[in-house]
Amino acid sequence: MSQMYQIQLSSSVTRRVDAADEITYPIELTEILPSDDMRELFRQALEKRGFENDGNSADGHRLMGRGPAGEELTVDLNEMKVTARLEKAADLSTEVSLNQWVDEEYLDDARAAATDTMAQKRRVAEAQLRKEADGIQKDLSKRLADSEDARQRQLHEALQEAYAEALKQKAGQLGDITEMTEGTTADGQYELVIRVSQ
Amino acid sequence: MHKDTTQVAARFAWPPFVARLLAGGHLRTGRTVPLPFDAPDSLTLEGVEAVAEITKRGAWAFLCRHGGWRRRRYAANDGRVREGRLWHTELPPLEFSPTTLRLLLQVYNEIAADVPPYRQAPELQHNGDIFLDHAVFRRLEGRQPRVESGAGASNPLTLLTHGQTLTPPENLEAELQRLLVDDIQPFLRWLADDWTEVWLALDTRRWQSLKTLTTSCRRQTQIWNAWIQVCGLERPDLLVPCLAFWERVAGEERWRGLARAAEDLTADALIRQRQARLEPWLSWLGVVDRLAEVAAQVRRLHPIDREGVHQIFLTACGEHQLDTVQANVRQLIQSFRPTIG
Repeated sequence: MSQMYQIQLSSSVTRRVDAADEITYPIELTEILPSDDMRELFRQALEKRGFENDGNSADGHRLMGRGPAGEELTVDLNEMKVTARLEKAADLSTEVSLNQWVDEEYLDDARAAATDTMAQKRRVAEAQLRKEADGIQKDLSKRLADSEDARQRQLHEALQEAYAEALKQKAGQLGDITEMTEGTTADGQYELVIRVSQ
Repeated sequence: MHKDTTQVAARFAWPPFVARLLAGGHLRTGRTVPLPFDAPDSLTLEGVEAVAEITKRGAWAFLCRHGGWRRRRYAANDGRVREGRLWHTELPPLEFSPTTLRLLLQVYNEIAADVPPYRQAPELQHNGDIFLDHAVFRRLEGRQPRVESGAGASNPLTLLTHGQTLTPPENLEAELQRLLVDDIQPFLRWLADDWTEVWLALDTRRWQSLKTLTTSCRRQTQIWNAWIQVCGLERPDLLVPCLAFWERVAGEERWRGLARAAEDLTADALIRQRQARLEPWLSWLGVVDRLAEVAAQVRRLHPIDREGVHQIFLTACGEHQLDTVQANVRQLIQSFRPTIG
């Protein structure tokens, strides 16, 4: 009577995912005031919205903040561009195992077959993790794309404030400001009326 | 090779070959004997004279076929706008240097020996050399060179029409400036419609792959920007083919097709990759803004100061809907590279 043997093999498959995507926007500031003044006003408007100096620029012209999808927003006022970057790091892992009984007579062949089967299972698991990693990357890109409108609105609000302040300063240079009203029109547009006497 | 054999070829095979090269027809007919470059005495006087005559007629025929026959409005030498067949205008003669003969000899030998072209960039001295070299380039366009050859890159006319497939020289503006000399520029209006057609044909090939798109857009942007700079306020009428091209590519409804093509080509890319990959194309689209700047400069001229070349350009801006094209292109750029401002 032959002996029965149990073959048990297990292994874990892991994969590190560093998903990231970004989008860059050029900034075009209309020069109501000289270029440097416009940048300064834009910087101040951004700081009011929680943006902070990133610590790497001596002139304070590189600010960082958060966008609507939690993305990191870097505003570079020297290169006049905004970069929105979303990152996600994750460790994915899965277990593969094999458990079988074999007759002593076939033990050597069964061992070899089990090793092959495990290798095959590992490949399948790795492909699965790769697919998951791609999914994470795609989700991340989608989040960044879906938040496009909100992000642009956030940046344009800061820009609008900078333009309004620039117009006020410009009006002050033209003469005495006799009346100034700020509001929103019926269709939701920002409206600034400045009357100047010379 | 025996000298008599080459003399027979130079007398009886080379001239008909040049005629077929310039007028159409099969280039290889039966057995042809390559002619030696380094032994000019192998060429016969009759052969050289016949080729010189065929060359002259061939260059004129090329220019006529590619637009000289058209009835168009043009800026005459007195600065006024006239209308009529372009070949009825006052024109300088076409002159040729020995470079053209060498070129024709070289092409004959390539075809005779059945080898792909590998041409050094020839020094084109006269107006005839430039037009003839361009005609030959166009005739042999489909033949694949052994390596990227210098053919075409030394010819400002070929650079302008086929620049996206060539490597532009460093002194690009100076090269293109050569086209504005007195004995060349009157012929350029003949070729205006042809340029548009060539660009449109090349444009369809641009979308074969991302690499082709990137390379061709980079080169063509460089060349068009240089051409716009060269023409500027002096010869804006020579920018009319560009206006016609952009209308056909980005006019009403057509620009949406461009957006789809760009999306298809970068469908699997991440956002940052898409932006980086499409950047050369977006810069290429920016050429429309450069044309609009020229239009704005011309409009700022007092009507009294506007000459025929300005009137033709402004009329063409309207006919080819530059404003609509610019708005469409801006919308395209904004959708792929949004601007904060």
